[in-house]
Amino acid sequence: MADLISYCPEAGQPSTGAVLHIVAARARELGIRRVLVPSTTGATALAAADALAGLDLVVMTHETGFAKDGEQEFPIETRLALEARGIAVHTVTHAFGGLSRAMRDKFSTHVIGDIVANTLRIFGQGMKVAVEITLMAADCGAVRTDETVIAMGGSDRGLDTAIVCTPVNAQRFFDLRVQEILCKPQMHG
Amino acid sequence: MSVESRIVYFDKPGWRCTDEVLAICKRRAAELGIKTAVVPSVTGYTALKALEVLQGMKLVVVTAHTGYARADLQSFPEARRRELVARGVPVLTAPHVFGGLSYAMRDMYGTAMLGVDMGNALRTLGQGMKVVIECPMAAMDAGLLTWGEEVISMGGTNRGVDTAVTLRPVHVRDFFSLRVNEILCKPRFDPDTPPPAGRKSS
Repeated sequence: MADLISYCPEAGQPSTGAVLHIVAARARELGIRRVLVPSTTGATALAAADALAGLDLVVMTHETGFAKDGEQEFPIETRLALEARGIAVHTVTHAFGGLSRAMRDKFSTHVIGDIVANTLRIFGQGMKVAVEITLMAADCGAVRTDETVIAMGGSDRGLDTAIVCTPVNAQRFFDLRVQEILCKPQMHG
Repeated sequence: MSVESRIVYFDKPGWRCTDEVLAICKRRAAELGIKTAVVPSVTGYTALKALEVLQGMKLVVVTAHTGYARADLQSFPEARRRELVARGVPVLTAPHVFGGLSYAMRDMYGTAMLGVDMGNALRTLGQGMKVVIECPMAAMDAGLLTWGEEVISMGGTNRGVDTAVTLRPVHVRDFFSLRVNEILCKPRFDPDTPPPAGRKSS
């Protein structure tokens, strides 16, 4: 079966509008209802809420303390505004971060989470994010592990990657299988 | 500005995809001006098929390492190796990048080490995706590929090929700098695909 894949401009240049357009179209074609979007400041979540109206949107923020101890980068007003529209916003520990990041920061040692994340980054930072938020969403009960979803990812800000997959819990990560890659950044590695 | 391209999803992984993968690679190589393809081949079947279809391209064939299936056993027939080499196709037999000592640890102590973790992370996109990353690095370290040159790399599941990408190969020591440029085809892994072997039941 031949389909299309889109290559967004180089990693780091968000292609949010184009990615959301691709996701909306593929969700329609495949009959997918639930879509996962990462959002740090809320801007991407709001763009997704508008572009993907009618779909069941799950927003995954940075973990609290990601940038600075105790600080949550996702504005509370944006969270409340999204929730008022019936959109769930989840904040949980990063699947590939967590204790692996603790090891890296304290002992300069890279362990499993860093290795997995850096391996997925050979397809772009957005691929790592799309996979990671899928595990996080499953672990916080925002998605089921017997439904097919679209998960998006980006590099720092905005979106540049989208995949189709059936979520698994983090403890079953190695059972995950990415079904389709809808878009990813162009690479010049 | 995004660029749209074709991607082919196979209903099932495995050797039956081989002919179509080679046709896809031939077409995309011509479109992108790519002159080199890396082909994994355990028994020589895929290598000979590739030689037939990808005429005019430089091929680098990568076999399973000797002893992979059984001590001292090399599954790539010597006659086929000689035939390919005589036709100017290098056939590389080298340690597996993600295997080696990592598999030794796994097999002896039941401990998943670096190479096992990386291989399994790549398998989330399919067994073939692990192979398309592994073989060019082995070929690069063997001096069979040119630094900076974009190539097509194919991978498969047990036999044949079912996955293809374009990338600029790096040496193993530079693995984390590797970036996949395009994904040309892969198995789709529908939700009703049986779970991979070795999956825990609970």
